[in-house]
Amino acid sequence: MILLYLALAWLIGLGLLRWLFPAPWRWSLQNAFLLSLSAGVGIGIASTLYFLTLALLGPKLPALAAVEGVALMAALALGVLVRRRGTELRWAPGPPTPWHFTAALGIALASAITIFIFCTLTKPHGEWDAWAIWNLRARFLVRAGEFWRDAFSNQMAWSHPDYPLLIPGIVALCWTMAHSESMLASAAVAFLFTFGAAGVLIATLGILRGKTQACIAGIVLLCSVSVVVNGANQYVDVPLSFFVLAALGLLCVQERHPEDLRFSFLAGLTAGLAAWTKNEGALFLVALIAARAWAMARYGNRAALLPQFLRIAAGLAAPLAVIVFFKLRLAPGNDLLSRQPGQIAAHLADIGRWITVLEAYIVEPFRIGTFLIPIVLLLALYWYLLRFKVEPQDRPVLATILLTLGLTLAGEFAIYVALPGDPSWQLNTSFDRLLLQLWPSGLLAFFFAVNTPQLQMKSKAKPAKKAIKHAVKST
Amino acid sequence: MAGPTLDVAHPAFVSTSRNPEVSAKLNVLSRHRFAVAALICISLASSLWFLLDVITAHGYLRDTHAFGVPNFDSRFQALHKSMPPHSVLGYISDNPANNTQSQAEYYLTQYALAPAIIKATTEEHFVVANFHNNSPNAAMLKAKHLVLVQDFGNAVFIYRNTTR
Repeated sequence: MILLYLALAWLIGLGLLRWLFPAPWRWSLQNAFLLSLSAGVGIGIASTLYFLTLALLGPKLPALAAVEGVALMAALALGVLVRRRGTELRWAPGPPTPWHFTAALGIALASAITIFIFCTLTKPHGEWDAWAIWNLRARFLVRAGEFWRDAFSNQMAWSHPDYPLLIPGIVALCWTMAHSESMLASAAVAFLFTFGAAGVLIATLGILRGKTQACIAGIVLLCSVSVVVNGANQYVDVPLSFFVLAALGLLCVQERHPEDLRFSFLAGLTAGLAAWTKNEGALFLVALIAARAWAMARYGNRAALLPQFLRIAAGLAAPLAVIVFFKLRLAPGNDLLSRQPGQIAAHLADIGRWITVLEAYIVEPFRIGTFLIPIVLLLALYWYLLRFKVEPQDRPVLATILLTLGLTLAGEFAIYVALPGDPSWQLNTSFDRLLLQLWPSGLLAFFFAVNTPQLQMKSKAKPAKKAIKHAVKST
Repeated sequence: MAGPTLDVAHPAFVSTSRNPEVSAKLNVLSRHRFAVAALICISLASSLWFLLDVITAHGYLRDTHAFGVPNFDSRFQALHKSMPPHSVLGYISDNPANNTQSQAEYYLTQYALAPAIIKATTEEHFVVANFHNNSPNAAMLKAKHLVLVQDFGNAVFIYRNTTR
């Protein structure tokens, strides 16, 4: 039953996305893209509705079932009955992809799924943050009945009761509807986000750069062991990375289809859901808006700036309203932000803190993904052999991605330096996960910018190659 | 004994070596193939290597997690069922203070007993005890003014603070 309710949440997202981007019911890149995106979007919408129902109507199961049911019916009706033709998303043109790329992607996927299952079987409640923060909050929401606001009690300040509720909300929704606190709910949610992110990355790069590039990027992401393990450990950094990637990927696709502003609407919605997932999502949201405005003004079509921003704002409005409502009405003050300006100034003046944080910013990227050889070195070698190739029309969106990631990292740098606590401890316990939040988007930027590998000789060279073979045989 | 020899004067070789365009293309081809092969092989090797580790560790970890989450849930189940929602309890343990294990067990106690709020202090009327054996340190309890209310088994107790 738990999986059924989660599937219904997914269908809410799928209905909405099919209404926005209608496509024939058959296997296609567009449907794969929508299917990957709709997992996160559906979960985000269902979680938001759960929270609003709880906050406005109380813990009443019939009311919750009615609200979620109406949302599902409306989304399905929109998705099924839509008659107009929308933008068609296709693989970018390129040479045929050799079969062994698809095989390698299949092996990477199978290995990642097996790792995920074994980690989940070993730790069904997830790792530390999962049970100390996210699943704990879900237990409060389900078990406390009319006292559900105890979930945000200041007496549990260590569990960060000000954190937003996307993941606790969807887990609590599944538990409430199914009358069971099965850990299958949180594990399945984690699975959808972990592998949904891979789907979004592959589909986005397929649209932008073709099948070969998409396969390579998908392999690197699925083989990023720490992404899979953190996903299985039910850390919310992986769902956040999904929404960060989705928002940036949709802006990339928007650039390819400037006439269809629904991509910007959906990018706004996913960016808003990022902020509803974790507090770092709010920092990403601010960085995204600033970066997009600058990049379009600097490289893009300035006339498109206002229409795109209006659509982004429209998509963002609903999740942002829910976040504001949550922060103003329920969430206690943030432990990091509720410090005296004098303390912050003292920390900023402490050169030792700057050096500690800088050291982590230099060292930690070499550990991303837990590869046998640091992946940044491998990607540097890959770049050296292939080089970047950025078309002028791709500059605005590539600048948007890079600036967003840069601003987010800079913001997190400032938080580590200025705010309370021992920066070494904070960096050791969180910085690797902060990098993972941005890792799929970093891969999107890299494989968007790097040359597509040329793996076969073009037509002119073929006769020469055949002649060599012939000459060798004849000797 | 002389083996087969390559006829480097063959037109194919002449055309390749003397044609800079073809030579450059072959160079690009090999560079690209090497880059892609290295990236994919090392990525797959990393994933499969870790997969072996995970499979090996799975059985061991499952059997040795004496104080893992499911264990805490089952240890505290009886107490959890007997508590009304909206309760606030203190907490005491026989773990050494200020180490990671103590902190983890305190958080796990909170997780197991939610929606009761568990505070890391004995200065509450009722205090939940998370001990590692069934014979707690009487002197410590006396010093903290705690008297036993109920023993829930599995080294889980409820005490009352006589000063509150």
